[in-house]
Amino acid sequence: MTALSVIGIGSPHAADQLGWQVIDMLRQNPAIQDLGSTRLSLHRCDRPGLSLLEYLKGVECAILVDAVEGGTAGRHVRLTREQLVVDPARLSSHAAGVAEALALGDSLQLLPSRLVLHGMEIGSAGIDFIPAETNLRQLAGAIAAEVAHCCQEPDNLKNAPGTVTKTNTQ
Amino acid sequence: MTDSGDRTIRVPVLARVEGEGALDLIIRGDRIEQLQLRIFEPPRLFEKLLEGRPYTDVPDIVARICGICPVAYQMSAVHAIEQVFQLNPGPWVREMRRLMYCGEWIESHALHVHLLALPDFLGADNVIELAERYPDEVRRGLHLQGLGNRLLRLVGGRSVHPVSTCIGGLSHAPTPAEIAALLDEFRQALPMAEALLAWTASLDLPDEQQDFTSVALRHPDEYPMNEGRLVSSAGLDIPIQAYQDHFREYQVPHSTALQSSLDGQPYLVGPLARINLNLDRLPQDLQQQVAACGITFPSRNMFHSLTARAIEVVYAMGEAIRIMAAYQLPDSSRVDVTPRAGIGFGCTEAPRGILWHTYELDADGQVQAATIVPPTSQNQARIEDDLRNSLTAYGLHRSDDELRKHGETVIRNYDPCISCSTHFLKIKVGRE
Repeated sequence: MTALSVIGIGSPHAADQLGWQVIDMLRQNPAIQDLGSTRLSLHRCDRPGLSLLEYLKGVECAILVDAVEGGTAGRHVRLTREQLVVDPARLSSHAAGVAEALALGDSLQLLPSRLVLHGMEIGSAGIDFIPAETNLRQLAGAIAAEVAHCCQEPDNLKNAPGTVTKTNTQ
Repeated sequence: MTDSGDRTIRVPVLARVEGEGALDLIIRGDRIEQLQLRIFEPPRLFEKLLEGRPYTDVPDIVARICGICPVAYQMSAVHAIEQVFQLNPGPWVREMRRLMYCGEWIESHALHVHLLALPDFLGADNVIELAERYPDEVRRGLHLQGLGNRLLRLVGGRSVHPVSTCIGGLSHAPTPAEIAALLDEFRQALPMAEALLAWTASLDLPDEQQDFTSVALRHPDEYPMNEGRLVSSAGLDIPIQAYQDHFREYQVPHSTALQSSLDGQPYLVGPLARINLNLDRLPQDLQQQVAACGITFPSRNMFHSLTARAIEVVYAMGEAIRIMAAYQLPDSSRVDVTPRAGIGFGCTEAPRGILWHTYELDADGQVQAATIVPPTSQNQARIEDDLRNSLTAYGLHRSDDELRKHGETVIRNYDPCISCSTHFLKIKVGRE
């Protein structure tokens, strides 16, 4: 298991693809390629539900990438572990999403100590939102910078600011 | 104790069941006057959607009916269509389809046992609360579920709505190295599944004996998944194409899902029915584990469905190990297909019970008509019967909240998928 994992969460459907698209961009990034698969793993994860915990097993630092419902379409958001782990209002096998998986993972002490989510708000367009290429590249760039920062000093991710960072890009 | 008179309870959102449904209950004195399991999911019209489509589209379309048991829909469909085409894809494909079904049973059963059912029996509101008290057991369950998903990803291309299944075989064959790596993990995890079986059997489950008819597939020499004759605990033994001679789908005013009867009576499909009818088809060593677990099968206690699922997790783990240990890369992962006109039937064992399909195709292999009978709709009438018996035995004098909780436990025990046919549970109790 690698120390650092970037996990693009999504599906083949419209806006839900953006987590995968960012992973594809990162795979083309020479700086990311230089890190090699032993230090960094990149995953395209298809609606994992609770299986998300399988991807987090043994990882020291994890960066999740996903579309975020609501907000301003195209805006970049960065959420820390403390902001991600909340009590889910409901839980079913058909509807276990990222929040539910992380709440269960926290309860079972399965989460990496360093965990952030980089997302893009999709506004009111919902699943029909099509992210602009420039927004995707900015999101991929922010993640690449965080990966580089983390690789320089693993505690950097842990010590990142705890507030939501939002960059309005569209 | 509740006051007499009319009372209405509404619970707007309830967790741990799938789809939109409700339970209406009218109690008069010490008896249930009316009990209706209401399913108000809108019709999804998949059967009409298939009409006019080429046979090649069918496995991918029917997989979308359910995110938890897509393999079941694909398997019933490909078997029915291959029957029309008089096509036998050979032993390699047969084993790979069985391997995919093992993955689906493991992930679906592990999810239901830990996420939906166990909180009821261990006094927790949800799996997160359960995880605080039983962390090792929940971790074990998640690991097993994860293995099932990984098996689906390896053979099916992805765990949700797999894409490799096609008429005539699979579009892709895993490499021996990929299989070997997963085989090693399955061997390591088999004792976990066996421990799950022993643990579920040791739990203090409600002791309620009921009369019901079990229905499942039965195969001459293996535990049924993709093939077999339809049998029942009441003596039915028919080929799958005779299904409509004995089973009847009918509409009730309170449900958008059709209910089913066998010779006019409700019946049970699913893990407990399968175990009740196929215990002797389990491998000898697993039969010994079942005999030692403290529960006698066939069982008339519906709550033993929990242990039946755990038995099937052990079985599917062992079966997957057997198939993966013998795995060889084929020259081709599929055989050539020549379409023909005709009517074909497929019936396979989804995690929740028998899933029956029939298709009428034209000479080009285009779908002219399709009928799909999912397991949850087949269990609806049985669930209503169970609720009448179980709530009466539990005590109708109890509070509305107690009745609601017990009713939910009874319903969840069936692992109903209302999206395949029901999110519970709004309950309305009228007392007269």
